[in-house]
Amino acid sequence: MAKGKFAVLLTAVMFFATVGTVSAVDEIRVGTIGPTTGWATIFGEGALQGVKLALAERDYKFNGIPIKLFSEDTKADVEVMVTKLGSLKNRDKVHFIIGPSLGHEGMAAVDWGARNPDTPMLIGYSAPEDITMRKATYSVVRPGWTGAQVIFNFGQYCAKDLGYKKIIIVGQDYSYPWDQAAGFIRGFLENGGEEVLRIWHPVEAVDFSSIMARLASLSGEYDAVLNNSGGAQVVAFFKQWKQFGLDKKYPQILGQANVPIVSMLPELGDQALGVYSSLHYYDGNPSKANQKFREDFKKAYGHYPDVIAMQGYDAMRVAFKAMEALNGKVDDPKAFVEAVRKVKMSNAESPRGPFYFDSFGNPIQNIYIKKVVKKDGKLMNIAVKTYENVSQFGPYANMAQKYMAGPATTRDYPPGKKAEYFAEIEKWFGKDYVKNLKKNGGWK
Amino acid sequence: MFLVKMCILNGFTLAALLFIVASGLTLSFSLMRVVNLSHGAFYLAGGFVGLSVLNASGSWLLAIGVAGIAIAVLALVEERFFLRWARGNDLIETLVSLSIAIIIGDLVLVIWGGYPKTIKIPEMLSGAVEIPILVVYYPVYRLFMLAMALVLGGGLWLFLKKTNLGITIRAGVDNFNMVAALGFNVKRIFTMVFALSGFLAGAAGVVGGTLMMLVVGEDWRILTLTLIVIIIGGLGSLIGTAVGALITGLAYSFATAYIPEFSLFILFLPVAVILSIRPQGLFGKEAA
Repeated sequence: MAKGKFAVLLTAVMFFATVGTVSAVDEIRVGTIGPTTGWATIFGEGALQGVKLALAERDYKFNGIPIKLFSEDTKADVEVMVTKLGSLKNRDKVHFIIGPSLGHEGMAAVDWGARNPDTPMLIGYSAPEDITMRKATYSVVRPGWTGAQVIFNFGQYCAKDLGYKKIIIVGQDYSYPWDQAAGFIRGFLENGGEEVLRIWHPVEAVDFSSIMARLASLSGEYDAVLNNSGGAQVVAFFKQWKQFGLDKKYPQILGQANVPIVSMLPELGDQALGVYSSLHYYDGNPSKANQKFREDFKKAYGHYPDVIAMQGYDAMRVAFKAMEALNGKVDDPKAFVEAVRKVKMSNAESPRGPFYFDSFGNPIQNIYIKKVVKKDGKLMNIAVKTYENVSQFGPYANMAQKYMAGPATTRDYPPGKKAEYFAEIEKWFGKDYVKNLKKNGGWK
Repeated sequence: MFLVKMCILNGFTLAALLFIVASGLTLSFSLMRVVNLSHGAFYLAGGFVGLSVLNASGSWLLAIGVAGIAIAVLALVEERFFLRWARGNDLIETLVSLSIAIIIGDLVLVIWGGYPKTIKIPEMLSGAVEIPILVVYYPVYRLFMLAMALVLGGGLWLFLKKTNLGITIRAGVDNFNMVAALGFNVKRIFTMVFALSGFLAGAAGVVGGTLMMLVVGEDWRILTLTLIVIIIGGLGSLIGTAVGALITGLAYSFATAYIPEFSLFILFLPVAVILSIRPQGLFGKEAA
């Protein structure tokens, strides 16, 4: 009896002694997941390169504990991704997962995360707001962005600073551009804009010529055009824009967040000069953290990084900060998630600037209004205005529940005409909100 | 009125590009009765080869020529070493061409990367001109494509109708065994036609990459479009291909101007209608 008690005591003492002084793990296993082959390669590959750069900075070690990286390819296919998430968890026994990169992947990953709360996940580039809103789950944190978060203020900027009243948005017909349009419309109409006309085309448009013809015929009525597509579609859009002489009918193109990212600029060429857009990161940021990140990345991979790589890099560095808080004890998923959610990155630590997490696990961060300029013969984005500490709910941060209760974004919700739009927000945010908007002439 | 005029012009010029791509496919089909599913990959690879040639030499015409020849060689290899071996077995022929398409697509990704690229419009063909009767300004490059398609269509027509080789090819379409029995080396003709088809796909890649962009995934999109065109027009008919391209180009152009959300639906609508009324296509011969 006494012997038994002694053994228990001894075990307990030894256990707590171990926890208190040195880490309980002898190897930290990190999983990454994203499309590294197929059409979406640039998204998965970019994020992975960012993660590897952050690991290489520390020599793949944390306090002397070696870090092992397990990378899985989703081929941009959700079915494949769910299988691979299972492999990372059960076969490789990773302590946490960084990924995925695409919108539909993220939505499926958060469902997987809800079923597997013992495997913490840091979402990469995936931007649908519901990952950290209506579907939010504790073990899934996103050191990234939501589509609408980065564009609310752009609408505000176009109405207030650029003085536009009527805008046309041309975009691909699926959920991410719908979210971008919705965020833009809210910012634009609530700050003095009058109308936003949305033109949706198939995700892979064959030819933009007839859209260009329509834009030309509308140029008398509208002030500017916002290109709301991504990737190769942007290249084709810009090219035909010039061919059809629209650069003489409208001011510079406005772009959704992804339009003038670093990898696109060389293909767009001088046609991109003067393009305005908004994002939580801009490549021309003179901060030390960003300059170091850019130069180190170039040294490792031969080209400058864009926001996708930046997020892989940040995700891994957020994980490192959480490990520091836990002294490397990553084998307790609950404690790890808690530590991740408490991480605060400073301007000296992240290339994007300071950020910290809201209660849903999405960053509150700076949003930059960017403009493309030429510096030393190279195109890059500079910030013409910075909106500090913007949450994923934008101006509705103190009405988060009301925002989430409203109808989901569709291709034509919220309405694009001022009168209809205001009737709609009065329904969801109340009369006082609309009264205040009118009194203040927009957001404060 | 302005929009209608523009849509007609856009429809015709888009049809020109579609015809340039689809004529190669219809040519190889007319003789070999196999739908070459690597045609889209030929297009994409041709575009990227052209891009590299243009970057190295600065000549757009040279880019078209080299891209065409490079893809013609590729097509020749595919026919000589893979398709010939499976001759007559439709399923295997289709699978071979499909596998080659996937391999080419992945090679393009490895060599040129996943970022979208575009070929600069040559100085001479950039800008816009006023079209006299319609009184609208229109991009020179698109008009150039139209001219190119007309020349190509005329050239192919003359080739098939007036030259001995063309007559042999058409005879082969109608009665394969008889042509072989008459002492023609049908195998060699197969290879030559297939290489020509590859040349057209490769050159079309440069033309299309100059109009829009080049990116991995474009191969399948182009393949789908060409299949639409030749299904409407009828497999193996040159005139059918031209008509199919016109219908597709005009339908797409008007749809994107007036109901852009439904442009893909409008694109496939003629296919569905024609398949249900005339399964062999507008100008296709009924299956024997």
